[in-house]
Amino acid sequence: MAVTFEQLQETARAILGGAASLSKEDFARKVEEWVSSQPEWLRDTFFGMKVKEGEGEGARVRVVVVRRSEIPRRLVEDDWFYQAFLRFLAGWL
Amino acid sequence: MGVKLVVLAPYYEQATFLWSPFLKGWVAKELRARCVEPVVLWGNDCVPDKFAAAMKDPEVKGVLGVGHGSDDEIVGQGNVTLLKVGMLVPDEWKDDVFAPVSCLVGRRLVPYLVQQGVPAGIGEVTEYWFTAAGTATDGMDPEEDPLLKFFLYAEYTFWFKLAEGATAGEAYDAMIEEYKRQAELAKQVDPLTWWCLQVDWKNRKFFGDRNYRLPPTPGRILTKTEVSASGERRPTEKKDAVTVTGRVAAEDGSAPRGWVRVKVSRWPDPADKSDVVPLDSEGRFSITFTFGWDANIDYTYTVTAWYGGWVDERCYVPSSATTTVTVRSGRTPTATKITRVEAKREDDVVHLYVEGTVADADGKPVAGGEVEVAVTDTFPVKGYVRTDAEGRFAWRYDVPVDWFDTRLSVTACFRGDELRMPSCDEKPVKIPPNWKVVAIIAGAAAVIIALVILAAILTG
Repeated sequence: MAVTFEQLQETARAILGGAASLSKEDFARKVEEWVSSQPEWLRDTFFGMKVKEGEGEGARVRVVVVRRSEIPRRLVEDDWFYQAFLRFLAGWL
Repeated sequence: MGVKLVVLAPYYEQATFLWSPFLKGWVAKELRARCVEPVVLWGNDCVPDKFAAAMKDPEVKGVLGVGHGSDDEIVGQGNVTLLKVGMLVPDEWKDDVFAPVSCLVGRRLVPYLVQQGVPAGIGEVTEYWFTAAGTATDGMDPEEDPLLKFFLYAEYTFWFKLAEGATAGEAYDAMIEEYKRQAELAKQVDPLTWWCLQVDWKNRKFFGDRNYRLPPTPGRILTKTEVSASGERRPTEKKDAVTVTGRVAAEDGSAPRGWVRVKVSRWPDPADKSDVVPLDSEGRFSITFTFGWDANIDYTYTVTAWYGGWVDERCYVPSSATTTVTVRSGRTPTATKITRVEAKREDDVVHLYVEGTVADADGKPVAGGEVEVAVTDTFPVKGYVRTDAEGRFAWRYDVPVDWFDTRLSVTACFRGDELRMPSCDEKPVKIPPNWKVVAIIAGAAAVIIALVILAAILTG
C-alpha cells in the first residue's frame, strides 16, 4: 500500500518526538514511496522555500528549490534540509 | 499625486525563476488596474543602489515582491543585501508598507522596520514553503502554473485589497482568509501544496498599524460584479444548458468597459468550461454553456465571473462573483416489485411466469412502462413487457429444462423514462424436478430391488 502524505507527517512527528528511531535513509525511502504514488505530472514539479543562511560574504542561499522527485536524495545528502523538512512536515516550526 | 509600489523581482536562481515572472507580469498588471504604478526592480535592477533610488520617490508607498531572507535581512539579485536590521531607515520610507515574500524576516527584520517608523509590515516567522510546476510562460496569469497559482492568489490579496482602499489590517485579514481558501482548493490537487499553504499562513505575521491605508489613488473606480445562473436539462440533446448572466457596476455609475471571464465547474463528474465575454454598453454580459450528462445525476454547477478591469485615463478595478446552480435529473424514483415468480415443469420444458408491479414515488401505478425481465444463467434469457393501467406486468417464457440450473433468480427492471427513474427487483426461483422421470427411475429401482430379493429367495 502506498505511503500517504498524512503518514509521512505522522512519521516526521514521531521522529522529532523521539517515538520512532527511523534512520534518515528509511525516512527518505518512505518519502520516495510517497513521491512514486503521486500523479506523474506532480513528481516533476518544484518544492522549496526562500531562505538565506549566514552573513556577508559567507552567506549562502540554502536548498531553496528541488524537484519533488529529488527530495529523497536531498534528504539523505543534506542534513540541514532533512531537519527542516521534518519540522515542516510535522508543523513544528 | 499617484501611488507607486516597489516590486522586488530578482531573477537569478530557481526560486526567483519561478516567482518573479508573475511579479513583472500579473502582479504589475493587477496593480495598474487599481491605478497603482508598480516600480518593478527586475533581475539586475534588484540591487541596493537602484532600490534606494526607487525608494526616494515620495509617491512610493510600499515594498512587495520576493527575496531570500533570514532573521535579519532580505536579499536581492545574486544574494546582495537590500534591507538589514540596524540599517538607517530614511524618513521617506516612513509611510511605506513592507510585505515581501521571504523566509524568516518576520522574526527581526520587519519588526525592526516598524520600530524605526515604518507604518506596517508582514513577515514570515519561519521558512516560507511553496510548490510550483514551473510552467509559467510570460507570468501574466497565475493559471499558467497549476501549483504556484494558489500562493499567488493568496499572497497578493493583501496588496490588491490595500490598493482598493482597505486598511492594512483588513487587507491582511482578507489575505489570511484567501490562504485558507486556496489551501482547501489545493487539497484536491496535491497534499504537499495544501500543507505549504497551511504552514505559510499560520506563520505569516502582521506588524504595525492595522488602520494604515494607502493614500487615495486618483482615477481608481471600484467595480462590483454580479452574476446569476440558470440551468436547464435538455433531454433531446442529452445536455444540461447553464446560462450565465450578470453585470459589472462601477461605483461612480459609469459603464465599465472590458471583458468578463466566465468559468463553470460541474460536480459530480467534474468538468470545466470557460470563455471570455465582452461587456455591453451597460456593463452586462451573458453566455450559455452546455455539458453532456448522465440522466440520473443531479449536477451542481459553480459559476465564477471575473471582471479583469479596464485602464484608460481611469482604472476600473477588477472584481468577481460566484454563484451555484443545481440541475436536477428531473426524474422521480420508482419501485418495481416482483409479486409472483413461478417455474412449472412439463417434461423437458420449463414454463416461467413472472408478475409484478411498477409504482411511482407516490405509490401510484406507472402505466405503459417498459419492464425488462431477465433470467441470468448459462443461457441468459430476457424479455420486455409493458405495464397495464394498474401498473402490473406479466411475463411468460418457455425454455428447455436443460438451459437452467435448478436454482436461479429472476430480475425485473422498469427501464425508466423522461419523468421517472429506473428501478429493479430480484427474486429467486427453483426449477422443480421432472416427476415423471423421477417416477420411472423410482419404479425401475423398485423392480430391480424386487428382482434381486426374488433371486435371493430362489437361490436359497
